[in-house]
Amino acid sequence: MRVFVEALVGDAWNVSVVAALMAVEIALVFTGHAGAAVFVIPPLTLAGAAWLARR
Amino acid sequence: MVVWTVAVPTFLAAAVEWVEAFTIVLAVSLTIGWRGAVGAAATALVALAAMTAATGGALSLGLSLGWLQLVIGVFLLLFGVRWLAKAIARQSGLKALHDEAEKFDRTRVLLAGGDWYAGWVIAFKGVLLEGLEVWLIVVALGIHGAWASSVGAAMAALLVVATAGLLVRAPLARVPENAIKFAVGAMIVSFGTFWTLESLASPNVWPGGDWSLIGLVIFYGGGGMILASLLRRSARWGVVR
Repeated sequence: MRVFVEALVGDAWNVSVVAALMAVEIALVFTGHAGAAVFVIPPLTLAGAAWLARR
Repeated sequence: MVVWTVAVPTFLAAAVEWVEAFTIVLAVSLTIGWRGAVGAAATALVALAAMTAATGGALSLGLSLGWLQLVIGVFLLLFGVRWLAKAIARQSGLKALHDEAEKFDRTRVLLAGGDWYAGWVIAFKGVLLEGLEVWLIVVALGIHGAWASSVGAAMAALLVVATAGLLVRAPLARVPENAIKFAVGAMIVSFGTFWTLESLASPNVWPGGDWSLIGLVIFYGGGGMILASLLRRSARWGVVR
């Protein structure tokens, strides 16, 4: 089962990175900064991918 | 009509996964024969086709588009960030490039006992696991009314890989897997970023609307390449472990 879940969503670190990204995105949108999210989320996502790459 | 923005990433992502699945089936076929290995692969493909049909049917029943877009967007981010990270790690030399020949040898060692049932299960599981990622992409990108394009692209990729594999009769080691992973990772993350923010905020949040997708793909692809080169340089200087 674990193998199937990992094939779909990746390991715990991958899930953590995406969860953090979603938390920032939700916070920005619901505090009225959706316009800023457009420029904040892509660099954060890339930083998350780079962090995962170094692990 | 073919929706190319859906068909191209689906074809490339599916091709990479089918190459990996083919390697396993080829290795198993040398132990239990073609009939058993292809039978296991076909069973897994039927299961995947059933999953695709069932999910497509379920998703088209009454769920609001906004929620659907958010859930699919999160899955695309989970998938795309992983691929992009792997591509950056391999490009920068932090991780060895994926080696189909090695995977082939590993599967052969696993089957050294020659057990027919064990071989069948390995081929079935291999195709099913690699195919799960194809299923995710097909469903995620096809959900906006582009089912024919996403399913067709995945099947075309299967046909191309199977034909090439049968002609070569060896692991398809020359496929530029990392370059494809880089491109597809960038595309999938772009869709994920675009859809999650659009569903949480409003359909007009992205400047330029759908054209922002192109900007995102360039940003993630180009940014990923720059990061890979920076990581390679810092690894050379001993900054990264």
